[in-house]
Amino acid sequence: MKLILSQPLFAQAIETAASVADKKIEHVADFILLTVKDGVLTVIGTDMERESKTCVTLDQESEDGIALVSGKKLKDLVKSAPNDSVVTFKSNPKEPDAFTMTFSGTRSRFTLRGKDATMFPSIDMDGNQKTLSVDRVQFVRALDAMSKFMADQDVRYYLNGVQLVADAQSVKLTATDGHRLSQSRVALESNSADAPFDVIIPRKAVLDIIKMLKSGDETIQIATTANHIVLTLGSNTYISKLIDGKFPDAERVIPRKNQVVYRANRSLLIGSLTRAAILANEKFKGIRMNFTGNELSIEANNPEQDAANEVVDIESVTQGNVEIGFNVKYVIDALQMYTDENVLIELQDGNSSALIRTEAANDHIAVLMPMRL
Amino acid sequence: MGDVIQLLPDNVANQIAAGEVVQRPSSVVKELMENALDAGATKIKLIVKEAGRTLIQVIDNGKGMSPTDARLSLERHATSKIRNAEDLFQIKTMGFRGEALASIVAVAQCELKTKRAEDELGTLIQVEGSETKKQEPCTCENGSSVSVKNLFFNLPARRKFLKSNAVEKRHIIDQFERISIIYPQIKFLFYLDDIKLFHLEPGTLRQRIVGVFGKNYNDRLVPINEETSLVKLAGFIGKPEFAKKKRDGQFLFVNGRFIKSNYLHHGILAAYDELVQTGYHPSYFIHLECDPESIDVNIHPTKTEVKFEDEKSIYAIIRSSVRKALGEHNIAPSLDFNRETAFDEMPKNRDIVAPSISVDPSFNPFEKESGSSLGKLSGAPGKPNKTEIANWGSMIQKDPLLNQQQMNFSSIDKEFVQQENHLESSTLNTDSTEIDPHQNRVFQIHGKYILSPIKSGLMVIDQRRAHERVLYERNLKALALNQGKSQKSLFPVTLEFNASDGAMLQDLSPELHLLGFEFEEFGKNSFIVRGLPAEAAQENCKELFDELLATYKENEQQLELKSHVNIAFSLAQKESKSMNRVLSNVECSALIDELFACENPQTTVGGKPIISTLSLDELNNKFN
Repeated sequence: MKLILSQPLFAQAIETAASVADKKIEHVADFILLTVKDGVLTVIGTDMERESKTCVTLDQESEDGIALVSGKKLKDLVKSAPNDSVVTFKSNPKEPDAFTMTFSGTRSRFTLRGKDATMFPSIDMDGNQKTLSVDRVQFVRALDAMSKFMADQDVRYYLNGVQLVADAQSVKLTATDGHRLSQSRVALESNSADAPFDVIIPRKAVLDIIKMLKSGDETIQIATTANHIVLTLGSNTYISKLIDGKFPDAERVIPRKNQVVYRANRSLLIGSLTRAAILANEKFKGIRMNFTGNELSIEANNPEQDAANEVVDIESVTQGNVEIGFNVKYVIDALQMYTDENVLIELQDGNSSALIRTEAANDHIAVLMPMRL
Repeated sequence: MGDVIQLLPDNVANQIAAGEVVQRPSSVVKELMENALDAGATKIKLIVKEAGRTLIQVIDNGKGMSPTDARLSLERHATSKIRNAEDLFQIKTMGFRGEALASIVAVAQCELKTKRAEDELGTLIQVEGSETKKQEPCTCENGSSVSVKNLFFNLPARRKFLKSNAVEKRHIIDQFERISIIYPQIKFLFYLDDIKLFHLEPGTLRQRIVGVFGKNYNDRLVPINEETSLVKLAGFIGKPEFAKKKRDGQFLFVNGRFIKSNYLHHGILAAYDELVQTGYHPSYFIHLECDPESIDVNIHPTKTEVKFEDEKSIYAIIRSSVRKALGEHNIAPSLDFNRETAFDEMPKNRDIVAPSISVDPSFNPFEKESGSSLGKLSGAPGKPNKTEIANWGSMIQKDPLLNQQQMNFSSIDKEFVQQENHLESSTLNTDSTEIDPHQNRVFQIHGKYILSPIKSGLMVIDQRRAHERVLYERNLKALALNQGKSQKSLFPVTLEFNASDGAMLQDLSPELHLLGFEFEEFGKNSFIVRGLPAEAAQENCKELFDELLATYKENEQQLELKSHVNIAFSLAQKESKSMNRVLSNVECSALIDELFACENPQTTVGGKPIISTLSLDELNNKFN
């Protein structure tokens, strides 16, 4: 096989595949599969739970063939090559399992040992697929917001990911770590849904997908089967196993009827909270928030007896005073989800959960459980 | 001076015997329930009030006693169970000494009602401290009912030494479990303070275990059955994956009698070898049936110790049958979601070949390392030969990267020096915010000890114990000042406990609440947890509770702490367990500061040292 590609394009082509490929798999280790066929390079990396496939059209002469080489080594080598160089990767005619790589403008030459490409596993997709398409920017923004709320290595394994529920008009994303919850809705591109589905994407895949969707076409296709989700963005696809479990019913814990509502300037509030957080207890970051009239006072202190007092002007939408404790990190995370100028904070009392949303949309929300201080 | 030795009156002798037999309310429960079993009852009802301080009553439907027998049964060494010394080696009943009732009536106010099926009228006897107050015919059901009121009423000292109600209740529940499990064919009812704690219908052993320990035990049990000429083994063992931190759920019975035997226990654990993580304990319910002649139960007043004629063989039999049962359990595998799926995908029709080693003769260890990561250089090989040195120089000139960095080495030695400097400076750089050259440096070794040089030598701090101390004092403060922080959770978790843990949890609930736990009772022995201490909010809820209770119990036995001290300590122990890890320098110094801010930085609550110093003299001696 032979392929010639500019360094940035080649680095991009192997990026996701190499990061997905995991040392866990016996025989294949962190190896990725490069296939050249009819002037198109396809790069596949898998850890048997996730699979990333990237296609790049080659604009220079190429020879068809297959290579199974270490993804990490290949990625590190290509990344450290000069940005303006052109990478030539070809099989070595003398040794069938070796591949040579050179960078134009340098005098370096690398020989990578390949493996028997027939050993490369692939994920068996099961059953029929349900597909829909959504706007990439909206989807990745929602997923990015969710990624802070999902649990990490929780024993309730179904919380270590993001729930995706699709109906005819929209797809709803939900993530929670048991102390806070966030939910967002992304509209579908015109009537593209086959059928409703309800799946949980594992944490690792969520982080991969956010990276993968940072740039590219405007629309992405999402397909689900019984056990897998497939994302297609242009000529690239990403497959992940789903978490087999039942996500808790979010509607049950979203407090839609909180009585006390305040409007706050988002960036001002984030500023105050960030300062207060510095003097909050390092371990659990507890702060006290006192909503009265048109003022919110924020107090934090730590075992070293440092103390922070912040007062922020807020606007009372419906009357009521509430004193409530929170993990300040949770509040900041929630506020950072939004881009609007103002947010609404809906409270009941110091013991009940709070809801943060924007004025415009009711389906992009964060729910926070208080901390008893 | 006249003779001074005299025979003790019976009631004094009985009180002395009671010291051995009736140690606490649960001993009474044991003796009375065993009597009911020996009377051939099919239904036994146990009523306990105030942890047995005010009332322990056992009602059975056994064969009952005649009026004369009833009177005699309360005397010492009066028994229907053996007749002569030979019978001692043929014991098929639970009791045989004829001491139990006599001892109990010596230290409590008792009422015995009994009637044989063939009699018209039953007998009522009331006894207080060995003194018969009343004996008269009465109407009653077939069988016997013994109620023991105001235990130790005449021994204020013993009464004072009883532990808290929670502890005594737990002993009683433990005792009840020990007896009810091994007699699944008998119906048991247990009322504790007017609440029906257990209602166990006759059934199989598996049903009984599930009835006592909760339905989640059902799929944890592996049957074990073995018959040898020496001993017949039956029962269940717990699957290794359900082994717990706590030692409860370990039951060994011999001829229907619960026994403790470290030796045989060890045999069972040996079978679990490597299947269970250290510190975790598998549960087991094993019944050994053997010839009564081959065992001696008459070595301890409470009969929880048994001497076997051929203990070694029994050990071997137990170990191999447990092994076998575990093996059979594995042959029929259940769905395992954690299984590595990669192995399913392995090509099947490929020949298995021995791995071959291919040596790349052109491999040059310096080729790669010159360009990238310095970290790998620590493992750089010894002195390279001269040709390589020559190549090395030419490579440097060719490589634009290195030229950029303007590294120009004239010799390898110099290069190594440079690398070492570089390595050192790079480690310094990463920590540069943390290391102050004027400050005492702190080292951590094995993620376990922190070393700090002091004037007179070297101070060694046990990291985990230091953490435990700091957390303990913090928890204690939280308890005293009501400062516990609680992070509430969106999805409350329901936890189920066995009866004794449930009772304990309820007793500890005020303290736990102050520490930041938020939970409430939710039906029988179930608790709904709404919040955890903010520091432990990320922990697995069930595990946190289980380990906390286990540590609490352990501390209770070993250290005899007050409950609030114990709970603060147990929580600190649990939380500090995760602290055996590599700490950053900032964390180390913070820990040392926090430790020395404690009231007692020198020792743990259990009295073990936290700090040890190695004096300069000691160090010097080592080098002489």
